[in-house]
Amino acid sequence: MTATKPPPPGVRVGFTTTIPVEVVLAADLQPVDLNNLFIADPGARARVAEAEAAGFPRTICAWIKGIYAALQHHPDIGTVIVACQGDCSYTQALGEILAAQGRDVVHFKYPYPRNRQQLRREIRTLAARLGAAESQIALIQARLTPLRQKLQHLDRLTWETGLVTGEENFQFLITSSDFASDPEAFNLKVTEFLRQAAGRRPRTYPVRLGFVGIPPIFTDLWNYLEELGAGVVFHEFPRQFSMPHHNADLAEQYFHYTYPYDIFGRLADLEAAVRLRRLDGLVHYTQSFCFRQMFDQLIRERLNLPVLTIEGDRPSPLDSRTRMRLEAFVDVLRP
Amino acid sequence: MSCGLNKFLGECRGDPLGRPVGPLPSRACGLDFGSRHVKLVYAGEKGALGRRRLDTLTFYRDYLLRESGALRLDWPRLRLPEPESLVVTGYGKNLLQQNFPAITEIRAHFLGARRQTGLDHFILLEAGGQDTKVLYVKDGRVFDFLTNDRCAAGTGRYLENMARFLKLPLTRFAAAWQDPVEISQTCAIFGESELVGHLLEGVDPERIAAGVNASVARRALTLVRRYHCPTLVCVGGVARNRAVIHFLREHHAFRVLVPPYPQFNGALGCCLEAGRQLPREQP
Repeated sequence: MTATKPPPPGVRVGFTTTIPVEVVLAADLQPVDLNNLFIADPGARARVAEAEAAGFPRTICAWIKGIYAALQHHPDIGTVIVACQGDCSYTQALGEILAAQGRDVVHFKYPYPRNRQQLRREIRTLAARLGAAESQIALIQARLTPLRQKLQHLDRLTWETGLVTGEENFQFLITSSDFASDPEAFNLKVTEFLRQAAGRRPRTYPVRLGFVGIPPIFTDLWNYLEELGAGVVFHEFPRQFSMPHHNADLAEQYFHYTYPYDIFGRLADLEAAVRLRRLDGLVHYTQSFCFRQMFDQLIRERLNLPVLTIEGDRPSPLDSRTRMRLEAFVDVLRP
Repeated sequence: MSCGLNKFLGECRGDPLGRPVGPLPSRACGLDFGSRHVKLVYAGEKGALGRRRLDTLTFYRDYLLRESGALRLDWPRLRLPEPESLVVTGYGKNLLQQNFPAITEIRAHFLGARRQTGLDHFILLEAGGQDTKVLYVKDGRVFDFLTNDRCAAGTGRYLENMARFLKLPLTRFAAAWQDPVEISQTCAIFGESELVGHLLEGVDPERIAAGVNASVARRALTLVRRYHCPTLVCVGGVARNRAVIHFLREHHAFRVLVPPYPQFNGALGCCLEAGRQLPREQP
């Protein structure tokens, strides 16, 4: 059964993908990106097995199974915002399963095709459902502006000077979907990190890589690439989660966010990144059983640079075959 | 297993390596550790090349010496002088690279195919015992590459299994291309049940073999067709399967070239890399 009352202030609210987090914060709720909750758990691999034991098929995305199992360990997260448009049909089914368990499921729909007015309406509906006043949303957005700017600076330090490593870039940007549930504390962490990074020596890499696609589920990717002499200076979706098109108009900001919409918006974003960041090659990370695997051919056709496609299933270190392929890819790109 | 000194690459277009094999000692040597065979190519003083192919298990058992935690090759047993420069690649690479200089299989096959064909622009299909790789070479460098799924379908091992299942000698199996039956499964396990179905219907085993060969070519084409290029070079053990090559040619999308010794392509690449690493001789 779906509740209609807003959740009480201060409680933790989960979400299945990046949604307008400003609305959650404006309602005085604690945002929890359930993907981060799952993957940051040292027992992440076991979570997937738990979901399978509960009846989830082997042949569906491990992120969905991970989110489901992580929630079973966190009964305090009573409300879950499910992106039932602009993400995948697995998410939609997950929402129904969670509703059947008695969780308060809030639906959020990114309009497809991309549409400003519909998006604006959708954000208003979410705000009404969570009990967030428009003035409060504007206030939160203004407060987040310096933090979002710092994240953009951190990203720039990755590709421009190498003061920030690929892994650090990934960790900070990926966390920006929920600011680790505490924007103030996260802001302090980013500020301190930038202060430390400013004192480092600039670094250059013989091979500059970009990561395309959803966040990789592998646990040792960046260290291995660094060993090979390759730097990851672009992460497509983590960068998108940090809202690089930050705008005073919330609907405008999420209108330019590429993740939930068509591939062509993504391709334009990728083309710009390849040029600006002087990428030598792209690694297209695909998740087993994910519909986004189908975009591989378009990415290869439209972007005129070498693309390596790798696939991951559940949280684990890189398998020997993927290591071999990454090694060969870096090898062919090396000047 | 074949062994002994052999003239190598005599037929190579524009290649000076067709001269008779020079006297030992060889100076550069390349080794490709495959899942079925270990291939070895070695260069004599005057640049002539020799080749050797040994069963992988036999090689690991009889020709690798383990001393104080380190590995070395038993050159006297191989009846070859120890080369001045050795480069390895292949399945054993990760284990062996602490003991020998190693390059990736992609680089090894790229170097070998460039040398064997003299081409700058081509698609390279390397179908070995356990996996399939496709390289797209543009302007004389590897622009992109693909490898097959985590699946044995379409590999040399799959073809061997199917030939054994049909009780056909591999050479006869690899020559079967006429009137192929439709094989929908390329799975190494489930494919056998489909073959049983055809046998029950009384279909001639050679027609079934032709169907298997056609299915392997079809599977390779799904990788190869990602790139637009008029030339396809086939190497690896599967390139010796004439029926698979016939089905690739039948597609008419590109001219299909098979160098004279497709199985030794990776080892040749390693040998060339080893040659590069030799100190330059003073004139």
